[in-house]
Amino acid sequence: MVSRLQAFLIRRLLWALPVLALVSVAIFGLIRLVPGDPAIVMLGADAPPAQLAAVRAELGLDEPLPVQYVDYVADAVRGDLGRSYVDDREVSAAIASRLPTTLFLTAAGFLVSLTIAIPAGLLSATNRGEWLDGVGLGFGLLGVSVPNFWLGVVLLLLFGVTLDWLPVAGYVSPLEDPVAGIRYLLLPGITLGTAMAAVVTRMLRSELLEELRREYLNAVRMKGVGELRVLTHATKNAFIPVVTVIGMQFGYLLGGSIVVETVFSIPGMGRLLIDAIQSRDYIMLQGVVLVYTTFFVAVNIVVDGAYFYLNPKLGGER
Amino acid sequence: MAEDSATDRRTFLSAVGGAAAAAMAGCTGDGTPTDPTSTTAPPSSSTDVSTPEGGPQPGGTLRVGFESELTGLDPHRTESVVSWVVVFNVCETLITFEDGAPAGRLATDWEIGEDGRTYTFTLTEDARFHPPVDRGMTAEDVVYSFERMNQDGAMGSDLAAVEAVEATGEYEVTFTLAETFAPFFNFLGRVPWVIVPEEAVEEQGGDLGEFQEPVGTGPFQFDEHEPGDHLTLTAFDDYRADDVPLLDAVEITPIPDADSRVSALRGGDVDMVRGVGGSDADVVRNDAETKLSRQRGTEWGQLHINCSEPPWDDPAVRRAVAHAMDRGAIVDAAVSGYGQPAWQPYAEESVWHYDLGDSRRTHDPERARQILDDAGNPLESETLTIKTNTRYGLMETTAELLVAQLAQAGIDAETEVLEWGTQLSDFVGGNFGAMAFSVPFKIDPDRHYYGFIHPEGTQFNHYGEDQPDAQRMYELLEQGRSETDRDERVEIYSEFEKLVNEHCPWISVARADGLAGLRADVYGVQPWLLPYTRFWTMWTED
Repeated sequence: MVSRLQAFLIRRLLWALPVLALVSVAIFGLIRLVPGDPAIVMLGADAPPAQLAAVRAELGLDEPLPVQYVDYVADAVRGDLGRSYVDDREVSAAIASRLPTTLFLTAAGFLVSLTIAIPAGLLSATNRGEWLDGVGLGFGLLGVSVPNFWLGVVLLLLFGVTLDWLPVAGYVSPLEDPVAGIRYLLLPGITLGTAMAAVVTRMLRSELLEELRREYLNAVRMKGVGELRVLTHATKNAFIPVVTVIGMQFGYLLGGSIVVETVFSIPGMGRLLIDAIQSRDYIMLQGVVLVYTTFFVAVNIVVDGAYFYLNPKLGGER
Repeated sequence: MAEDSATDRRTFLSAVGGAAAAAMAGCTGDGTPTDPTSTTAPPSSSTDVSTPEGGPQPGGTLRVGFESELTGLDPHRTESVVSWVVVFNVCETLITFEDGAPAGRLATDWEIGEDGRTYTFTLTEDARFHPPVDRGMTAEDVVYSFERMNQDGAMGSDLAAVEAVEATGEYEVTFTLAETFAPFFNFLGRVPWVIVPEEAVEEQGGDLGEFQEPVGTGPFQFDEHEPGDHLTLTAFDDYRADDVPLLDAVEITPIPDADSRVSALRGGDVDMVRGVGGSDADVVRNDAETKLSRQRGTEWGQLHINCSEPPWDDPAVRRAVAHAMDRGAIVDAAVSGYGQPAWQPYAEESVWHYDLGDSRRTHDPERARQILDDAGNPLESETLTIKTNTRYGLMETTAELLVAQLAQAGIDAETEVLEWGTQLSDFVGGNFGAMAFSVPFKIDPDRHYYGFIHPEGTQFNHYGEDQPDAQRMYELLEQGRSETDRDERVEIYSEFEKLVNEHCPWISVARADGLAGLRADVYGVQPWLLPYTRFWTMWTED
């Protein structure tokens, strides 16, 4: 017997299939719509015509578009995303080697943002109108306004160059060397997590304020329950919509990691994507974008599941 | 080859020396000029002048930040400068350029036949391939490498003149050309013309593009490559020259973001960075812990013109634009003065430089108006379009400032900003009137000019037969190729430059400098006009 949650997740997974199919058409089509011959970009302006033709043939660019698409999908379904033209790497292997890095970075951003946002949101809401609230609100506004590429460079100059406390470029896996790993992830994590921290702070503050005004809390208070317990009740309820926001923000973190990886020279998927764009490595580009979108879809399903779990009455509808 | 049919080495050196002299002419020292405000300090020497007491020290690892991701390491099929740098340290060419002249690398001596069609190279007997191949290099390896790089005509016109490559002895290789081709010799000092062992290539799959863990005879051997993260080269202990290399290892990290690269250098995360932008150069130079290495004129920027596209097909329009352009302003804005306004790719000290004197089309808006007036105002109710991109600063700034400068001369113009790939395709496909462009410096003038103009080349400028002096310009390019006497070639390209200045099939804008940043304790950098960093001359005090 499947539970309601399981049924819900299965339904969501089935829905994901047409989404991914659409995404694959979009990726495939958009890349080919961009004007400019990838063979020329790869080989340069003075490449001999014979070599250009060879590259086009190797990329399958001389085949009709539908044939190219069917080949691409058939291979992708089998997990074969092709080989990079630029350096002959298997795309799936390249992605597999970069994915953990990006996930660690995203996790760092996630951790940083919640570490800031939850206390900030709580303090802001419980001290409404006071200076602490002002700080929280100010952070909420600044955090979303400051672009992460700027923040990254400023942090890098301050902590990496002027104070020389933290490394500026590169990456060490926290699994290999936890201390070095954290040192390398700290600045990128803050850069990545600030915007999300700001959004979640504002969201948590406003939801909590609303919750604190509710009638049922007065009833709780009349029963003689302490303010801390009241706050716990309110926070639990306020968190339901916040979880949705957190989930959606997690997807944005994945997107933001592209910029942060470039600024901090972290060898993750984002850098792979940028390099693929710059060298017009179609095959690599397709693979990376496909994996990114798959992650987005997966994160959405998980968020929906969490929402359903927190509040089964809503049937997963936000 | 018979003795009497061969010219001696000196004659040959004079034939190609000019090109090499041009290559070396812009070399500077360690880039810490005595006058910190001077941005046009004259070249001092090709070696790092700031060697501390005690001289070079062996050992240590040099951490280097590269300007972009490595795009493939197969020596015979790499498409980016950063990959060339790695290949140039791992594998070796037959010749190289030192102190203004061609010098041996794998070849110790060479002779050129009197007819200019046979080149015989004597190879060193001491070159060894890195492990696991671990054997001496012979002439057969040279033959194999040239056959491999040119399979299916992959090298195009560069090797089209080569009729045969033969091992004429265990350590002697002879190239036979179908016709004289002066630029040929200078190619041999560059990537991808490097020698690799067949067994290592076969071991990795054999096909062009599959040799991603290169094995060669160079001072460094390939150790490991984690794409996007790092590439490590280690010293080759059996390298034939004593005390080379000095470093134990070189660790390369791609840091594509220019600001992050400079920050990494200043923060001490790396010991050297390539590709410092003009706007960051003073920061690197003024920081007590870092210094700047500067190579003049590694990139040549120009306004490329499609001479078959109205209104650019009218020479008067091109001349007027050439006078409207303020090159000094473009150099200041685009590379913060780390470059020179240029009317041709070769600097004054190069043998290929032709002194245009007063005929040089300098910034003169009045003259531009006058030229258009005299031609019957061909630009009345016309808006010129300058294509450009935002990926390359020199191109972007050239287009933006030129539009403003044209307005001062009463010419209406606009920029069209394209994605780089699109612009490149438009360039190759002739889909443009004018575009801001730049190319890396090339040692031989043939490499710059032939492709721009000649109908049998790519003829990027579409300078058709109806254009003034077109036939003469084609002829000069043909002669420049086939003539092997340097003085004759200088004459030929002088006349060609004069005609370019007269008819403006393209408009030269600037020569930009190649800048690298170093930690203060890194020594032995020898900047030169080729974009390859030679790690084997470098050492660190640490």
